[in-house]
Amino acid sequence: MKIAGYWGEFEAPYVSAVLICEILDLRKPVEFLIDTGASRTTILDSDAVRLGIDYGKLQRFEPGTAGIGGIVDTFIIPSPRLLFRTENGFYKEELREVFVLKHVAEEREIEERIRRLPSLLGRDVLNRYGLVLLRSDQLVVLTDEFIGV
Amino acid sequence: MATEQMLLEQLEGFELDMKWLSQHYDKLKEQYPDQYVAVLAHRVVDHDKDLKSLVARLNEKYQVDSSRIAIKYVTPKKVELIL
Repeated sequence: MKIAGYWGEFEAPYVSAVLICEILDLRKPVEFLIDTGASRTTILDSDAVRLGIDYGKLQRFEPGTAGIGGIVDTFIIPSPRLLFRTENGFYKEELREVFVLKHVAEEREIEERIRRLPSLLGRDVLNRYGLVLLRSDQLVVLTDEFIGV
Repeated sequence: MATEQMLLEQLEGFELDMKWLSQHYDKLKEQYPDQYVAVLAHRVVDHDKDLKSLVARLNEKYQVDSSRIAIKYVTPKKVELIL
């Protein structure tokens, strides 16, 4: 099975998936930056607004997470699924949780930076796949097939 | 409720428009500086400085189809993304 991503803003690799959460009645596509530096798959502020996520319905992750400007309010989407397109149709990835961040920016410059931040596909998903990135060939692939080296 | 086939079609359209937004970012940031731009089928359908207002208008106008509309904040200010 292969999931094709693409190169986008910031010269970075992305993949799109439908985020499904029954509790939030949520079934909408999200563009994720493929981020091997992120431990968890995370929805950033602009996507949270676009998806219509009601923070009041979500449990808070008390430790918070490190974001722009320090520790950021963090919420948990429980038991979500990600629906990816594959070469043969689709693949559904079931997760224990996805984080949602809510920055509170006091400075306009910081707020503008936060607006540009993409949602992140983290190692909770990426560690289940092989990842092939080759900018020169516009190649971004997640696969469960063997990659020989 | 949307079937998986419908969700996949939404996803494909959304992804194409996100790619289109990235490819046309330089032009869009001049036309709509410091705004959120909404794109459907490779066409800018709305824009606003306030994302909540934009999303509310799109939901009202496009209803179910609003899910597949791609939105990106565009600005001429340069930012390096280091995560």
